[in-house]
Amino acid sequence: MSLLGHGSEALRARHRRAAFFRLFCAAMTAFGMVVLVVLLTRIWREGHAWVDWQFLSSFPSRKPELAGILSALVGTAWLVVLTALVSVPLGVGSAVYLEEYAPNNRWTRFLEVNLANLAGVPSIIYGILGLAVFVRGFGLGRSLLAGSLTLSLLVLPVIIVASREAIRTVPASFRHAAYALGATRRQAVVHHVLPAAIPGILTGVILALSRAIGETAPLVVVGAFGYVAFVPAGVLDDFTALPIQIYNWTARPQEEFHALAAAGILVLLAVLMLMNATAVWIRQRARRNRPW
Amino acid sequence: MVAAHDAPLVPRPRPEIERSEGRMEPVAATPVLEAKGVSIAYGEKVAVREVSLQFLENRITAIIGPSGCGKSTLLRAFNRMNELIGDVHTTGNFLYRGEDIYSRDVDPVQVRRRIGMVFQKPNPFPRSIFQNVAWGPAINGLALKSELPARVEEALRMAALWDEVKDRLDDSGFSLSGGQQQRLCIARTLAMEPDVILLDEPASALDPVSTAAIEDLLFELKKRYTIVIVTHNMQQAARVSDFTAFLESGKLVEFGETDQVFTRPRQKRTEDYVTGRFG
Repeated sequence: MSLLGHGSEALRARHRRAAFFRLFCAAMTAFGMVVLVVLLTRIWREGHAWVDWQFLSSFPSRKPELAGILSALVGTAWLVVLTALVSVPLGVGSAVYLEEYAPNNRWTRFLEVNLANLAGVPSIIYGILGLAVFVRGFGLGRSLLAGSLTLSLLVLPVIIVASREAIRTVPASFRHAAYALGATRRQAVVHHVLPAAIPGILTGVILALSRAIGETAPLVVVGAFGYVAFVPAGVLDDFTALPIQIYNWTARPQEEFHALAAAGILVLLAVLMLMNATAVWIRQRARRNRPW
Repeated sequence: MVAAHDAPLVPRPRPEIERSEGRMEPVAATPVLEAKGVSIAYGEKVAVREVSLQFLENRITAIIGPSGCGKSTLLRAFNRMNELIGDVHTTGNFLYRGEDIYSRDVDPVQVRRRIGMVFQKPNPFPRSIFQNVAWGPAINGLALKSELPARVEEALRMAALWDEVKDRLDDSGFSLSGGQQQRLCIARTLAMEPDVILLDEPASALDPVSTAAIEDLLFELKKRYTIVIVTHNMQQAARVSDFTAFLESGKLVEFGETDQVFTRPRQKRTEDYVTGRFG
């Protein structure tokens, strides 16, 4: 009788359960994939015929065949740049403080827990805050600046958390080497810790900004317009953005506008994929070049 | 913040480089570093208890002892590296040429400039070989930009690395072998022109050939520097050092000339350790 041959009934039952578990997990994965593919195909079928140069270079219009997303596209670009300008210094600065300077005490831990909670606050709450503080309090009105500041608040916790992760992965040996050579904390951080952490920080920033791009609710509250027939020229101008424009079109009764919305979604998805691909590329490149 | 030329803590003439072979006469030496009744604790855990010892000028002192005996902690206390780790409580006196290293008006940055350190694992910066060596003098304003190449070359020569890297100074420090990386870290420390060099098990991550290269280097360096080396390798301590301190469970068991500690130990514990009966 072979020692390694077919086992008992109990062993066969274990193998069956193992195979079933594997199948179960694969099915769960497939479910998500199928839903995504169905959604994407539907939108593609409905919208891809509308995505052309005319669509990208025209302002919205009451006539579907003349309507385009130029003002929304430019508005989104403005929002991304302004949001990055505000949130990156704030976020990276906070992350450096928390990782490199803050004493490890109860107050710091309290801050950390609340930062994590802030990342989970519904975006509409940020919109209401933005409306009260930036639009009314600072009197910025329904402007690009008010919208960007609101989105900055929204992505700040994400940027802080991602930057802290990146800073934490920098080996302590770099810091020790720097200090042992008579570096001040600033010199150690600016010359060695931050350069080593930048790929990770950049990845986090891009992912945070791509989240901001897709946000609709806070911008609706802050007062983005559904119909803007000009390209904003300054930070205090009225604006619209891709998700707002899409929302506006889906809310109309005519079929053609629904198709326009699908086309807008395709453009938005393309922008998001481009940003995420950039983030992945940066991460891969940094991982390859990392000598430690 | 960056002072181009600040006065030394204590004026001192650079000792003449002695060309004679072998160990120097102990009478000429003066204590450069001194610990007086020092204890170091991490939170509740006491790592070093009531240790007193001296490190003499142009001598190599080895600190030996089993893992976890507190030897690295004691070493790091001399250039105030422990406080970077966090909750460390240090008592007693650490003196550098008579000056209290932990005095309130002493700047730890100044301490670390005079008392350099080489770590257990080679830790070059992810920069070029040149930049690795030039960074310390540059940030401390010790050399003009135009003087840096000469200073880098001198440091690399002293670290016996120059001939191996002179044609590839722009390559990454990580392109070197482990032993070369450690000599690069030594060169980086030498470029600061410190007074004392602390080495924390500098050869424990290296192969025997690289280890021998580092040990040869130490003989050269002690002509100009005061050296303290922590090691768990007793042969290494016996080979390179003039004085040996044996630490166990945070207590100083024995401290004396290396020959005496290894051949005629006064304490039974020392004898057991150096003859390999434990540890």
